[in-house]
Amino acid sequence: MKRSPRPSLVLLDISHTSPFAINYISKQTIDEMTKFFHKLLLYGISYGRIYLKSYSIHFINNERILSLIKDNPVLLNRLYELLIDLVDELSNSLKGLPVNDIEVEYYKDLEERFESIIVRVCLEKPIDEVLNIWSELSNKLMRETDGTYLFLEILPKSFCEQVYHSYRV
Amino acid sequence: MSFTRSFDPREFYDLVKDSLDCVLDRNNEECSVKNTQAFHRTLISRTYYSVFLRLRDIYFPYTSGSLRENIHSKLINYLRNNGYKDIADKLQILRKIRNQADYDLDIHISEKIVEFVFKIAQKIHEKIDEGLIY
Repeated sequence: MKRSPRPSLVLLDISHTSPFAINYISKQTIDEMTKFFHKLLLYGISYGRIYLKSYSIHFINNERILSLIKDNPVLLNRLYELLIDLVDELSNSLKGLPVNDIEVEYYKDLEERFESIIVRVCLEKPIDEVLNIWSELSNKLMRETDGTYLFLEILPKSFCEQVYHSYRV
Repeated sequence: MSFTRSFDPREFYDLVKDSLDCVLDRNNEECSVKNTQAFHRTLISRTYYSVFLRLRDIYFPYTSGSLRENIHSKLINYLRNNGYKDIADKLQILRKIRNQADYDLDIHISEKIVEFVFKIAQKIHEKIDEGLIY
């Protein structure tokens, strides 16, 4: 018997709809669509994974992410925007980089107790090149208002494997 | 405005650099430092503080009392708010790895991790030295 494929969530991208098309969509419709995609993202976080274009987004410690984000619509919206923008960069200006996975991880500082969400991409590239790409993306995608709530990490794959993947079940 | 301090946190950075050079040069017979976990963890901690203290001195010099509370996150926030978004992300990972090096006994801190952390710090120190962070 043929096995049915594992169900997966696919998050659609409406952020780059042309201005011409947007003229014909009312603000109310856009608000409704945004609410819908926020709900979809929340569902994806609780599921542990979503797919955006050809990228798999894995939520690590997803229950903590959910509790941090569910009562904070600004952070939810920012996470949504950052993921859309990151995927857009990876599939356009950084096309060709061997990336399939994006990790989103909860972080709590041990000493100062602040809580954050970290969005991470691991690249198989020399360290200097990775650091340059990281600076470029941080300056382009992060916002002044992100504070300590949201961080972007672009790291060498070998570092990810040693620090994050080696002890994760 | 510049202040004269009795200690320059760049000394931490120089110490890490000299220690790494010593350990990574396998032919250096004068190097008696042992390439151990304790050594790696110490280097990571000093690397973070070499960057943190220099940046703190730029933005929060001579802070005392309640202003010192949560100074690490205040500094990250300040960098972010003032357009140094890449430095904020990099300082955060230095802090995170420093916390792991100091508190997490379940993670193996390899020489490669130290080298990467050092490289991040090197880039930030260079920016400070070039006057690109002020």
